[in-house]
Amino acid sequence: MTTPASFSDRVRESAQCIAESGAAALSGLYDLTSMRLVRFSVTITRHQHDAEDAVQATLVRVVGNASLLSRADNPWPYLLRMVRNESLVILRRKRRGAIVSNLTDLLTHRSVDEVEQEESFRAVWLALRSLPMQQSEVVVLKIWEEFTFAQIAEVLCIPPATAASRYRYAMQKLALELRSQAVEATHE
Amino acid sequence: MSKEYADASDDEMSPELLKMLESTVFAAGKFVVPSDDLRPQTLEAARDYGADRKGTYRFAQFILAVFVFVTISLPIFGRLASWRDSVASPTSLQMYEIAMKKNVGMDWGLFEAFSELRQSQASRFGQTNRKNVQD
Repeated sequence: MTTPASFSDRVRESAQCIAESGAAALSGLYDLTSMRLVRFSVTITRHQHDAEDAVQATLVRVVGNASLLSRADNPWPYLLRMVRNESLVILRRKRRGAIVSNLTDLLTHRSVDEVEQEESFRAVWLALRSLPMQQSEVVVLKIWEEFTFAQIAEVLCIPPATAASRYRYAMQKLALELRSQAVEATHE
Repeated sequence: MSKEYADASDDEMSPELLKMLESTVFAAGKFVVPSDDLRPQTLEAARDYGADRKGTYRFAQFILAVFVFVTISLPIFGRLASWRDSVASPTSLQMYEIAMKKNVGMDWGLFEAFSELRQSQASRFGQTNRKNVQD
């Protein structure tokens, strides 16, 4: 996986292309970031359709003012923060009675050599969904985006110490959740 | 499945277990993907948004151009209107009023009014005419 800094540079290049060429150049930024953005947004909205709405709205906003993204100190965390804000807006607007606790809304993909691991992947995503949103987003940023706690703090607008403690609690809960899933699987 | 975590307790996690858990979560990172529809939908929405913005920008430019034109042209038309009074011929109603003031009958009154008009026009443009004749 690319480091956050180099990925940020690539996001900046894509944003500069959009600033120069307009909406026609959005495909570059989409191909670069969409999977990561949807993955991050799903942990907030808890629903793939809402997450995709948030990502689409964010990328359209980027087209409106691409220079804002290209001039940002860290374009990738900046873009993630935009998606997070959009996801929170959608979450507030579409407050559901019951949070989706299974994975039926998710569109999943695994390569042929990962078939054996599919069960493990599902277990991880189910366990992530069992976490409070504040903790699951820290896990996503720390493990999948390989951010430091300082960078996570920048995205989430919280102190780095809070990000670290949320991560610690989240990992403990994840381990317990995966353990309980393992126990259930054993009984079955 | 996840049998490694069967030993996980509520207490502080060991570094080994934490590392293993992190690698398990990391592996599941690419399990969820965007739908196939999202790409064309996003690009189309962005194109529409760009076109709307362009349209709004052009309309704003048009409004600005109209404003500038009106701002500049109003004083010019005012100045032209003041010149018109000095160069325009009298209307038929004005000629009729002048003829009636002569008090010598309608026909002669009109004749004298036109004569005066021609004289005043000749004196106004006389200089130009003389110049043309000399040329």
